[in-house]
Amino acid sequence: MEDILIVRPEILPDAFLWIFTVSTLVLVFGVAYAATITLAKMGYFSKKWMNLGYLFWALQTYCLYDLSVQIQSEPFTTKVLMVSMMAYFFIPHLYFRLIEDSDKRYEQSADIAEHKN
Amino acid sequence: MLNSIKTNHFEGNASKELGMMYFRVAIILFGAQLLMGLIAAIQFLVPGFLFELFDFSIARMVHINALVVWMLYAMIGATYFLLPDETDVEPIGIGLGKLGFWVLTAAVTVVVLVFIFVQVGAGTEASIWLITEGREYIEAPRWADIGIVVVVLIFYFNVFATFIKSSKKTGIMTVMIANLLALAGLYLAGMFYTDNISMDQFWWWWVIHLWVEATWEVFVGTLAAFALIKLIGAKREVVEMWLWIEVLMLFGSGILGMGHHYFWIGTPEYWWEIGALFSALEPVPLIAMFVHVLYDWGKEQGIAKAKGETGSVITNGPAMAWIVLNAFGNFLGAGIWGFFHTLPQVNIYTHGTQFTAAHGHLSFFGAYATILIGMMYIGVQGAYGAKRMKMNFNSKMGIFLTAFGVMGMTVALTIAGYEQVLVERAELGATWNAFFVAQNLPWYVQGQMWRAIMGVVTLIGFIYLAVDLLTIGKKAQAEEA
Repeated sequence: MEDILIVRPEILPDAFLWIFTVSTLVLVFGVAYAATITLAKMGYFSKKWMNLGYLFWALQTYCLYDLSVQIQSEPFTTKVLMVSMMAYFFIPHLYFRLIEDSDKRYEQSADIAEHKN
Repeated sequence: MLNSIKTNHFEGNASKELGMMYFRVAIILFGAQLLMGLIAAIQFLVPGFLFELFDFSIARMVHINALVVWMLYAMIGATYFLLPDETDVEPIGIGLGKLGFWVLTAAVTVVVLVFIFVQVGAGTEASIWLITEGREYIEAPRWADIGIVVVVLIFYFNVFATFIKSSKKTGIMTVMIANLLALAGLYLAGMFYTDNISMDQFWWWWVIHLWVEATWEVFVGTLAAFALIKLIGAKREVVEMWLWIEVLMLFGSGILGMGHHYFWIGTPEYWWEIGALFSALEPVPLIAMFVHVLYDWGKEQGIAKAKGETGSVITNGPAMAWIVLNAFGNFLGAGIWGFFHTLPQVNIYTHGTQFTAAHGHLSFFGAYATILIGMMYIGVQGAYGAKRMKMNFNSKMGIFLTAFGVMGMTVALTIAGYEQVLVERAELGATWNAFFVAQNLPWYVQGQMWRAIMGVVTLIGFIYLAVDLLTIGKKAQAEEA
């Protein structure tokens, strides 16, 4: 009979707590990055606080990298996750660009409607 | 809420009335879900509780099916409620819609009674047709399955035909029409059997999991968009732009992200990579939805302040509170608790432990229950014609105790699941014996005990919520009179 191949990564019981913690931190830093950029763009914070947001993004990227190491990800998966983090860096900026553009367009169309009336 | 069906301010708007009818049944089923959950929670601690009278398998089945059905009721109700506002016309075939409501409600009642009193049958075709199909989450017998399809077809026809008839084509309705087609169509994937268990599981997963990973999330996006316009006067163009981005991200990550459900059912190994990568991206739209709600709220409040207006821009306090809770709950439940165990290397240890239950509790509540309850409050406000509806003691207790209870259950189940991961899976190797060893570990037992306590807290919160939904409209109306 053929041997059964077990491809399960062996994770030590002591490692689980950090794995769960670091995976939480990935999202906590992720939302902190998005929130800092949002609040700065909305004018609640000065623009210089955006640098703190970039620090959150860097921490998030490190945590995701550490998570992929801890769970013994394939090198390809780790690379794709890092590329995704690069994309995530630009997402809030893309968002606000779109919002500003749609706001301008909305205000213009509202002005035209007002003039017509 | 109860009186709003006959004496309401919908001015003969039958679609909104029908929406309220669906909301009423939804809230009753929500209560039934909590009661069944409580019975099942007690059975974890006292396995002999109601043994051979109302076994754990039955309590759990009714608990989960009631959850799915009350949410579908509330979704149909929300759609009927927003339809006239979004299309400016009365739905076509509203009489048929009402007939569909009564047929569905009668069918659900019969199915629940059969689940409770008949429970199981012989291993024959007759049991599949008359008692239960035995497929987790969608256990209705086949006759009811077919009935659900007929009722959903009526519902979809009403929404689609109304949309086509209307000259107003909003982004919210366009997304909703496409999304509802996918949502309804997916139900068909759970209606047939195949001999190969892997294939069977593959299709069956599509129903609930492509609902929760994709179509329900998009539905939540459309409701949030509608609610933000309604509650804080957010600009439609901006809200709809967010909606389209969310749709792109939710479908982009959710459809293939569902691959994490294929890890251990015998599907090819490439699903490990696909499931892992796209699941890892799934929290991104949830963060976007979270930021979106808070951004729009802050922005509209800022605009009002700049105009010299004092006070809040929010016209319905309880509804807005539930929608803000939805933004947090979606991120926490679906995002953080999902990401915990979505990668296959971790999932092999966590799959089927109480971790899954913790994620399920917080994500269904956070992502779906919250916004649907918010829509019920919007419905109540409309039914009583109140311009403003403020939070009162019952509203606050309802939202606080329900959220605290669900969060408490989630934390308790996470602790129990963590114990299972360490002992049952990592140390003892997931054997049959390991499962029973873990069931008696002190942290596991204490976790289950706290889950039951927090379940009681949730039920008390629900009672406050139900009382509030029944009374708040009348109070708001009286205050304005």
